[in-house]
Amino acid sequence: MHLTCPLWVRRIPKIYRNNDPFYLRNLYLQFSFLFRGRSSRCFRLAEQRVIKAFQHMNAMRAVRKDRFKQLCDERIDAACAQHGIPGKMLIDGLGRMNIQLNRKMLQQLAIYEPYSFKSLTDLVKQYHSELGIVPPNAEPPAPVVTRGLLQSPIVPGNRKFYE
Amino acid sequence: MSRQMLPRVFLSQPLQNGVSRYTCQLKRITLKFCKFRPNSLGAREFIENGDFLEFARANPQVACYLKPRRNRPPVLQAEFANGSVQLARIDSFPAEFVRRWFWLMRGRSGDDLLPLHENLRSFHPSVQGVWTPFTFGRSVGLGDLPDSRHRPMSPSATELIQQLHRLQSARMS
Repeated sequence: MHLTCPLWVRRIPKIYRNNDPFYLRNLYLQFSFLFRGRSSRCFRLAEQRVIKAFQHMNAMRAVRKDRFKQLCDERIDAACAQHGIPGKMLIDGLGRMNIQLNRKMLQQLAIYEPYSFKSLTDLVKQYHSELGIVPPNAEPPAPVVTRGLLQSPIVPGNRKFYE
Repeated sequence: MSRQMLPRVFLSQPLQNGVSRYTCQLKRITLKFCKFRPNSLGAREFIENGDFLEFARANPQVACYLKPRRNRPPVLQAEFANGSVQLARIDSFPAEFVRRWFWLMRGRSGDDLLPLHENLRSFHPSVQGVWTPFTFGRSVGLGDLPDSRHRPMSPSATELIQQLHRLQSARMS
């Protein structure tokens, strides 16, 4: 029942509220507020669209993470390509050197701090050249003084070698 | 749908509070509790331990009220400079939790709690300068047009006419 304004003041106990169809329909219509056409106004159409919208919301949670990861990969790849290494090599190389930067931060650096990103690519190139791996189409990196530390980075396990 | 129904906002403070000067946005805090019921035990202990007075003395800019209400669950009501009122249900909370809620309200701005686009916000996100194709010299986007790698989806008018000509001369011969 939809009460008129003077009667709206009366407080309906929740046990009766649940039995009244108005309240359930109103709930669906609240969710369908910004939908297109009659799906936003008529309950029988809104119910279907709202249920489908909830399904989409649930399904998109996993997909959103994947898509963001793809976007980050694309951006890192493009930024690395300018410096002559593949994006995967950067992520792998940083991991091997125990530089803990995830994809999200790397793409932020590539956009907002391009010189820092370049120094990271130089580091990765240096690491690979010390191992004897030459990245394809790469320019020689800016001189990076490593003192052999790239090959055995300080990680919790080998800290005793540096004390 | 979730983005429409529950819009996201960027981090912001009312009138850029904190940039040059910080003003506590909490103006009044009221602790409503019952003197007898067990779910108000934490609230009563909070008062009796002296934590409420400690909060009131440490924050002279906040008006602190106690409101004993018979047979009602305990509630914390915080009123802010922008006029908003926030309620925290402290039903059966230990005294330590009540204390934490007090200090949490003290730090809030009174804006609605909405999902954020990002947990950080900066008007100057770049220190070194945002990347442009010219940042590392003109090494990106170089090339001459037409490029053989760019294959058009449909044949151009010239190519259509050339095809027609080839068909025609094949038919003639």
